[in-house]
Amino acid sequence: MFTPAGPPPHSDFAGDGSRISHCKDATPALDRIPHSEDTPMPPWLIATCALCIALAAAYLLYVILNPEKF
Amino acid sequence: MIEFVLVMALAIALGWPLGQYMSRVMRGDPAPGDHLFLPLERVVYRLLGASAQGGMTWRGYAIHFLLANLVLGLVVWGLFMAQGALPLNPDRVPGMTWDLALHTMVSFLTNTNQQHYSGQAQLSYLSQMVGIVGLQVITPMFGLAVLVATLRGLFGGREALQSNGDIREGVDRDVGNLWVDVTRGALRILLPLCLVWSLLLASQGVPSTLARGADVTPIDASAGMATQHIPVGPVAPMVAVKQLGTNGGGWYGPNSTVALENPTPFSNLLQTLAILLIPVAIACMVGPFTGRRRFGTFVFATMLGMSLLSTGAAMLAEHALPARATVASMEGKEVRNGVDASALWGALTTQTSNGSVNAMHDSMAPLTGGVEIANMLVNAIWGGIGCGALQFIVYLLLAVFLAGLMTGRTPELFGRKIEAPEVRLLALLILLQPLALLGFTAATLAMPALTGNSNPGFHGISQVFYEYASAFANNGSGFEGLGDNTVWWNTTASLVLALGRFPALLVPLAIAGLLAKKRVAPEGAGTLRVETPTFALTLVSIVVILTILQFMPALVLGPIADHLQLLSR
Repeated sequence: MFTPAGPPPHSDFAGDGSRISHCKDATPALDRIPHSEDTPMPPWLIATCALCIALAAAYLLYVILNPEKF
Repeated sequence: MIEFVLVMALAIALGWPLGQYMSRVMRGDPAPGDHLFLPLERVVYRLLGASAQGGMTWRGYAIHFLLANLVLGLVVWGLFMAQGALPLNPDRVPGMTWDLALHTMVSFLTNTNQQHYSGQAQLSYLSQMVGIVGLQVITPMFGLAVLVATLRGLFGGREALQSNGDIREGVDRDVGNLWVDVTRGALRILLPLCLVWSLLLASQGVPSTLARGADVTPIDASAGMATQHIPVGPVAPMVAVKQLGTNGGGWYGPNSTVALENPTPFSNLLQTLAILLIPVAIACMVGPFTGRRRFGTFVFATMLGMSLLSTGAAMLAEHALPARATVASMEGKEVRNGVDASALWGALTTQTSNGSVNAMHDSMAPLTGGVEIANMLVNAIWGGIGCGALQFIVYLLLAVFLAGLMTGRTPELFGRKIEAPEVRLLALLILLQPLALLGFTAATLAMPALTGNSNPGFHGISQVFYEYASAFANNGSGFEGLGDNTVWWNTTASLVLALGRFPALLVPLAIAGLLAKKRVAPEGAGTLRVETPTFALTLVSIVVILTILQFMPALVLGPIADHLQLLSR
C-alpha cells in the first residue's frame, strides 16, 4: 500500500468477496508470487534438519530442567 | 475513544472480581460453585488417572506439562492429516499436508493460533471442534497452571504460601499439581465464561449449527459465480473461546472482519472486551493469590500503565496518517468497525497475545504496525493467559538483578538471593528471542523464493518480521501479504512457535523452583523494595531499553522507514 514499486499488496480478495487474510492458497494475487513450492526441499534435507532440531530441542530442555549442572 | 474508555472500564470492573474468584479457585480455597464443580473434578481426575492430593516439585510439574503437550500434539497432528477419512465432514474437506498440519498443530498447542490455512475451507467440523477448540480450551489453562506454580515457587512453595510461613531450605518444594490446576481452571473459569459469551454471540447472529452451509446465488453478477457456498458451523462457541482464551484463531480465515463471525457493534464490543478480560483478571489475581496485595497492585498498575501508553500510541498513529493515505488505509479495514475500533482491537490483541483481528494489520498505519510489533516483542503488557505474567516475572527478575548490580547489593527477590544458575537461565531465555526472530527474518529475506512476499519495500520487511514476532510471542495475528502455506514458512514458523512457548513457560518455573528452596533473608532497611512506583518505572525502562537494543535495526528498516517514506512522497 505504501511502497513505490511491486504488486498491489491488498488485491488478495477471495472469490466470495471477503478478503482472505490467512489462506494464501485461494488468493489469485499471491499466485503470481514465486514461492518455495517452485523449488521443493528434498526429503533428505528435511530429515536432516528435523534430526538437528530434535537434538537441539532435547539439549535445550535438558539445560532448563537441570540448571544446577551448568 | 469512547469505545477505548468503555472497554478498559468494563475490563477492570469485571476483571477485579474475576481475579478474586480465580485466586480462590487456584489456591484451592472454598469458592462459589464448589458443590457443582467438586464432583465434576473428581470425574475428570479419575478419567485422567491423576491424584488430586499429591503435589509436584517444579521439575515434576515441568515434565508432566511437556508429556501432556507431546501426547496432545501427536494426536491433533494425526487428526488434521486424516480428517478427510473421519466423520463430521459434510463439506468433504481433504486431509492437510504434513507441514500445514504440523504448523497448525504447533500453533494451537502453543496457544498462538497463527493460521496458514482458512478454517472454513480446510478444516472439517471434527477438526474444528476437537483439534482446534479442544486445544483452545486446554492450552490457556496450561499457561495459567504454570503461572500459579511459578508464583508458589517464588514465595517458597505451596506449604509456605498457604501457611504464610517458611519451611526447610535446600529441598525441592511442592509447587502444586498440574492436573488439578488445569482442571480447576478449565471447569471453573474458562468454560463457564465461554458458555455465557457463546450465548451472547449467538444472540447477535453468529452461526451455531452443525448443518451444512447453504448454496446461494450472488446478487452481484460481476463476481462471476453462478452460486456461492456460505460456510457456517458451530461458530459462536469457537469465537467465545478464541477471544476469552487469548487464542485468536477464528472459524473463518479473515477472523472477526467477517460479518458472520462479528455481525453487530455489540458483538464487536463483546469480543474486544473478551480479549482483555482474563489477562486483566490475572493481574488482579496475583495479589490475593500470593497474599501480597502491594505486589499485586504493582503488577496491575505497571501493566495498566504500559497498556494505556501502547493503546493511545496505536490509535494516535492511525489518525496521524497523511490525508492522501487515509482512504487507502481503509482498504483492509471493515467499514462497519471504522478506524478507532480497528486500532483499539489491534492494540489489545497484540498486548494480550490474543492475535484475533477485526481488520487486517497490513492496512494499519506503519507506526500502528510498529506499535503492534513492539507489543509482541515486550509480550508482558497483560500478555497471554499465564504466559504474560510469566514474562513480567522474567523482566522483574532481570530488573532486580540489574538494580542489584547498580546499587552494589546482592540481588534478592522476596528475600531470596538471585545467583548464577538463575541468571544463566534468564540470559538463555532473553537471548532466544533475538536469535530466533532476527535469525529467521534475515534468512527468509535473503531468499526471496522462500519468502513469497507480496511487497518488496520496507513494508515487506515488516511483513516478514511481524510473522516471526507474532509466532515467538505466541500471538498469532498476521501482517499478511505472505504466501505462507509453504514447507519453509510452515516449518520455520513451527520452530519459532515452540521456542516462544516452552522455554518462556519453563524457565520462570525453573527459576522459581530454585528460589523456593533457598533460605529467606528477613527484609530490612537495606532490602531493595520492588513494590514501589520507582521500581515500576525502573522495570518499564529496562523493558524499553532491552527491546530497543535488540530490535531497533529491524524496527527502523520496517515500520519506521515505511512511515518516513510515506511522509516523503
